[in-house]
Amino acid sequence: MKILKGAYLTKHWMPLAASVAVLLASGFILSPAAALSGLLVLCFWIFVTIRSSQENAVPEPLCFRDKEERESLDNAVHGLVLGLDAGFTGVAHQMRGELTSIRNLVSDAVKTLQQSFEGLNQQVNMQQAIVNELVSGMRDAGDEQCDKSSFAAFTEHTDDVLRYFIDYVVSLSAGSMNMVGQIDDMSDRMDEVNNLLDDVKAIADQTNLLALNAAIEAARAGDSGRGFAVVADEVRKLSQRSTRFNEEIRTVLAAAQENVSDARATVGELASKDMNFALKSKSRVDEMMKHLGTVNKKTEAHIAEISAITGSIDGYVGDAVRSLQFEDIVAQLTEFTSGHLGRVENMIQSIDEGIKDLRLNSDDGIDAYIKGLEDVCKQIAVLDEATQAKLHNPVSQRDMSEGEVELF
Amino acid sequence: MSISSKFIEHEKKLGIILGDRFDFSCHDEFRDTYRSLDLSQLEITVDFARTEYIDSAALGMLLVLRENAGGDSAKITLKSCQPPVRQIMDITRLDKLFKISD
Repeated sequence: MKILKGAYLTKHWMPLAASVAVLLASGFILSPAAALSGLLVLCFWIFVTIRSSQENAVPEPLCFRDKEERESLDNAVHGLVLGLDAGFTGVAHQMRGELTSIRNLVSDAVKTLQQSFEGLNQQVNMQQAIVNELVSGMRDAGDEQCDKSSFAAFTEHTDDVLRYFIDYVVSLSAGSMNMVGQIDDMSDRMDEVNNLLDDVKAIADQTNLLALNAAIEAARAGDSGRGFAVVADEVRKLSQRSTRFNEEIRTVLAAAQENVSDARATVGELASKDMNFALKSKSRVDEMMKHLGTVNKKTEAHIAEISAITGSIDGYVGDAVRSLQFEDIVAQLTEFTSGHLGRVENMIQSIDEGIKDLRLNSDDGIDAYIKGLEDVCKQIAVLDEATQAKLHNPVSQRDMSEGEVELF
Repeated sequence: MSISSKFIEHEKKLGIILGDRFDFSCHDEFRDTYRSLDLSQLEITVDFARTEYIDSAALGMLLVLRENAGGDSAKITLKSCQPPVRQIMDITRLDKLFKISD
């Protein structure tokens, strides 16, 4: 029996080694897990082939020709396992390093992104606050109780002042025209006084003439008329004084009339204002009011738009920040992958340890060798099951849109 | 004479027709049209059809006329005001004190 199995192995070891080499190569290129499973399949194949060759025992006895052949087969198998071990340890190390850098890169990038989004959110909120302030400022402008310095209030105030000024000009004009009428009346009265003075002058002239006649009559009467001549002279003097007074009054009256005329001109000048100023100012204020109304409407519409945009930016930022949860998922996945690497390492170590003491070239014979291989297989299965139980994939969430993240 | 007037005694109507300018220089002429009349019972019409310019003194003269005609009980119509004159009546709110007609 022993010889038979040995012969079989000797007969088939070349393709066996070749397939092991292919597996190893593929293992490094593709993935260690695939290589490992390949190795397990290989072991199983060896096992099954030997078993089947036992069952279909060929009549021709096969055996190792000598001890040297068995030894070199042992060495080849151990060399294979050692190579696998060494190769995989290198790959595992490299993979761990790359997993770590993936995690660090993602973590750094996510931190930066998170800060950017938080900054963006803050700026957007500040913007919204400013917009709100603007809106409330504009609403207050319409309220009389509020800010007197606002443009609307200023315009309203200007309108009030203008109205007051117009009313003032009109009432001043009415008063002035009334006064001009009274001045004209006074002027008429003065003309009447002038006419009366003419009458007074006529009386004085006539008195003078009478006194002259009386003086002539007194002179004709001779000595008896001497006393009468004195009276007539006095009367004449009186009439002359009266005439002088009359002239003086006339002069004063003329001066007064001149003064009155000046006053009339002054009052008239005061009252005569071109009303076009009022028309222009009024239309300008009206225009301003109209413009203000348009501006207010436009501004309110724009502010509403800005508010809506700010709201949607808020939403987008929220989505973005929520999506940043992928960092956790990546971290957990790399951790998990690391665990799998450990699994593979454990398996290789188990193979290494199980095969270390297994020798074809021993006294125990081929059965013990096969038993040893079976034990190694079982040991790997048991160990892997235990390791796998510890590795529970914590990342079941695959969709970033799940769950909500509150911004702070 | 830029101002003319027509007094119809039995109808108690006084019509005053203004010239192209109605300002302080027209004061005496304007006053003379009603000075000798008892205005309290009269229906007064001031025709602005030819008038293109008025100043504040003109407004004052109209107000004095209104005062002489009994103030709030006066019956005065400002007729055929051209747009510039009409605007002045509006912004000075004289259109509230006088009846304005076309």
